Amino acid sequence: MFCLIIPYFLFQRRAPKGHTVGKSQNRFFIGAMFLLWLATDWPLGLLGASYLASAHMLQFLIYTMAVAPLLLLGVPEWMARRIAGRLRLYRFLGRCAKPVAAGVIFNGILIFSHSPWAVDTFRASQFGSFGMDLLWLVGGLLVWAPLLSPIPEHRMTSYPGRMAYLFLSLGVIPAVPGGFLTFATFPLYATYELAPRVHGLGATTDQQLAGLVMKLGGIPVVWGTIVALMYRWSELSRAEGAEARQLNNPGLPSENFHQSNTDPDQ
Amino acid sequence: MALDEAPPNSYSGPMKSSSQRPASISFAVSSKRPYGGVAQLVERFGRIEEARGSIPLTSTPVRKISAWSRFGRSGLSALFLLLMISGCADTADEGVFAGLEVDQPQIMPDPVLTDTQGQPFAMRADTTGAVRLVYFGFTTCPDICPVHLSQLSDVLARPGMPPNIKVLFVTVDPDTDTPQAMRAFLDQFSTDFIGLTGTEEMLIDVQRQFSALIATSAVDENGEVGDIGHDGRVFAFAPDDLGRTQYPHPTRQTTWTRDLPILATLR
Repeated sequence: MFCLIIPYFLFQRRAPKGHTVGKSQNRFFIGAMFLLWLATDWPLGLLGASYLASAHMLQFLIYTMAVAPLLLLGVPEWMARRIAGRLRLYRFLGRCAKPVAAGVIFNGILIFSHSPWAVDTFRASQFGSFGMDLLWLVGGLLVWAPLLSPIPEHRMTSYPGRMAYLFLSLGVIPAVPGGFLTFATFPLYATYELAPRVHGLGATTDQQLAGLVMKLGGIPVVWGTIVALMYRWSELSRAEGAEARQLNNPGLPSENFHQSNTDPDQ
Repeated sequence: MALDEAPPNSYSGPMKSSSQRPASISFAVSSKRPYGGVAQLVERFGRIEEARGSIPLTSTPVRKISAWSRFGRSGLSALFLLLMISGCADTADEGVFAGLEVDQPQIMPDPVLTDTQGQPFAMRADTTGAVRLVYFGFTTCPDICPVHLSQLSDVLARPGMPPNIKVLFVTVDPDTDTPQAMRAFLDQFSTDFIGLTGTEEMLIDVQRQFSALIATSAVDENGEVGDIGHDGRVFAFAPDDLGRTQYPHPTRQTTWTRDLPILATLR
């Protein structure tokens, strides 16, 4: 966390002239850090690392569905360009932010990090657990980059494309491993199966709960974002229609004319 | 090389001496041929059949096999061989039980302890005809005991599991584990689990009878008694009273689910 907080505020102090971090961006960043702390520290961190598959899944959900998008929203464009430039990652980030690449990598991370081998191997040690958390955060940043990247040219431009991407990469594919967990006959993860029970929650019930969290937990975020995108798309289309009518008939009153010049994402 | 040592690649089984060996049976093998064994026999057989007229004398023209085809065939053969070997390896390692099999199964001891109702309970005689899972633990155990019992509770609640399975929980901490405390502890997992206690001497003797490691309390530098070290195995006895398998910690549910129905059939 300190590796994120310290550079963020250091960069703010060394902001180029005329550039600052907006209040809302600061709030997004602080919100992301708060959720990161919530997902990593006691009790959720401990439960997810050693005791409950459902807690493990809740952690995954917080990292990928909340912390990652908030982090992307909290970083201003100039800061992202500076970081990408210093680390010579601009091209690499651009390639990774391509929808197909981002979707494939994220879902690859998702499937790998929820495979019984990976969970039982990495969750056995603190470093392994940390590595898994880091992997999730990186995966989350990647999957949200085509929609929320602070660098505008890395973002997708078409609204239908964004919605389709969101639906496929975060709505459909994660439901598959979620289904496996929910309908598996036996506990898949030895780590959680052989851990002392928490509040009498059985290993199979815990795993079914984890599957439900994976399948249903992301729905509010994914569908909420899709609805917001749809609303913005309709607003944009309406404004563009009004603008076109205004240009064709200069005598008409300018209804919502101001909206045509604004990027709804900004 | 020592005189009694066999030369490399020699057959070490029973051999006839040269005087006993019939000379006429041996085939003359041409040393010019680059191959021998099966290939040679096949060629020889082919010639014989050709002479008999059962196969045409004029062989069909040899079809040229492309490199890809060869590669594909060798790949498929290799894959098939690999599958065969792995299949054989699996079956070779597979025993009857997924748990730890006992080389020489022993008859279940029959000590009499006290159950959670305060009644005498003979461990073998009072559970005749059932699969007996005997476990030595204590109610304040932080990890192994609750996990074992929780696993058993989950497994026994599964559909299709045999009904005649008795879990016998023998305490190794009789001072703390009163019958009431044991009942309350076991009821968290299943009301059917049987809790047994006795005097300290009796319990040590019972652990010896089951060949379990004798539980000992760890005492720290200040003389305070800490956690109890005890045997983490569940001793399984089939209805025929023989202890064929043991289940150490950790044992997964898949192992229990595989083995318990098999144990229940051994009468």
